[in-house]
Amino acid sequence: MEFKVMKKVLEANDHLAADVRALLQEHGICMFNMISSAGAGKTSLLEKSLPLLKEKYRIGIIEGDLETDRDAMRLKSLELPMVLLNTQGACHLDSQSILNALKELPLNDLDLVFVENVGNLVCPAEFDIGENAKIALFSTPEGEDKPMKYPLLFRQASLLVLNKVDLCPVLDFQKDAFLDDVYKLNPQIDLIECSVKQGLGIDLWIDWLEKKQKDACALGGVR
Amino acid sequence: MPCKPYRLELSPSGKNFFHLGPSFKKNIDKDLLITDELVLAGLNMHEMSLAKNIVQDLLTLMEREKLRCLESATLHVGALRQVEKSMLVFAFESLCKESPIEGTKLLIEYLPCKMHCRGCESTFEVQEQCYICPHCEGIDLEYIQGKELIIESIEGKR
Repeated sequence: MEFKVMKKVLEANDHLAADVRALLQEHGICMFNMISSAGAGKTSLLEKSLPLLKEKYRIGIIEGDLETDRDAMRLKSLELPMVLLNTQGACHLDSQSILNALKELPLNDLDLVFVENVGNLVCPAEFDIGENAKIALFSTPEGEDKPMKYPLLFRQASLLVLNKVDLCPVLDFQKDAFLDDVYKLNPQIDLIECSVKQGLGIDLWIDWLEKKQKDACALGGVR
Repeated sequence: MPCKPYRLELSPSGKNFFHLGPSFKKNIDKDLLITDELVLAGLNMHEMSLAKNIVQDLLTLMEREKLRCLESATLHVGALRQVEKSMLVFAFESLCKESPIEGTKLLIEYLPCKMHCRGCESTFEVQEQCYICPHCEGIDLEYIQGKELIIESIEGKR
């Protein structure tokens, strides 16, 4: 006997993502979900930009890592409220984990929350965690051919930060081909080129975050 | 499976700021044990997460429909989901072992990406991952199909 069921497989996660959105809205918080491969520079970008951003905004961090507290230790000197999620082998953060983590943060005293997802281009793109924006961070050593191999992330992200652009000449990174592919995949994605190490593009990154936070306010998503 | 949060204490004096979770090879999930072999096979990944969700859903559906056995389940997978069929089937079958749905066949049907262009109101199937309208070069598009991950139907006996 056949039964039509039409059951969405990630429905439970999607419901919890809606709970996360409601919680963020209630507290007037804008949350960014940072996704990249391991080693693209998520932690470095936060290390470089949060000292500037924290002058103006009250910031919390949710740090996702397979194992170890190394990234969290690196960000500790920022003296910002932070929750570490060790996924113990799981390749992404899901809404339930984020919900649990948010409850550990002083939500009444925050404007922005940065989620540093587990280093992975596939799974984190798949799981909605209730964020205001997904941010894809990509670094030039990964090669210009990757967007077409990991289309979902580039489709889902609002912003693409291309890091380590200072290495383009050394790596022979074909930036035009890269940008063509990104444009085909997502013609509406924003792009920032940066070199965290050299401090290039950090101002643009901060501008983008501020604009996103303002947009969220204007939409009533954030007070 | 949600992971447990560990609060990071910011007291400057403390040395051990937070606890680390137990080793990932331990019992990660109370309902579905991921064995060492599977973790070592690198399968605690994308398809494994999806397979876990599918198994849980099927067990729930089986109970809801009062089925005593489940022969097959048909899954609709949108092209954007990046699901590798053989990986998903392997993960699924591994998780089903010694459960009420051991032996259930997982049938996977891929659905191509289809978009609607708000500019010229046309509908097209995405070719070579290009999300630009082939008719008017518009970029204001909406999904008609391509992100599905749905258990479309199940076949079983009451």
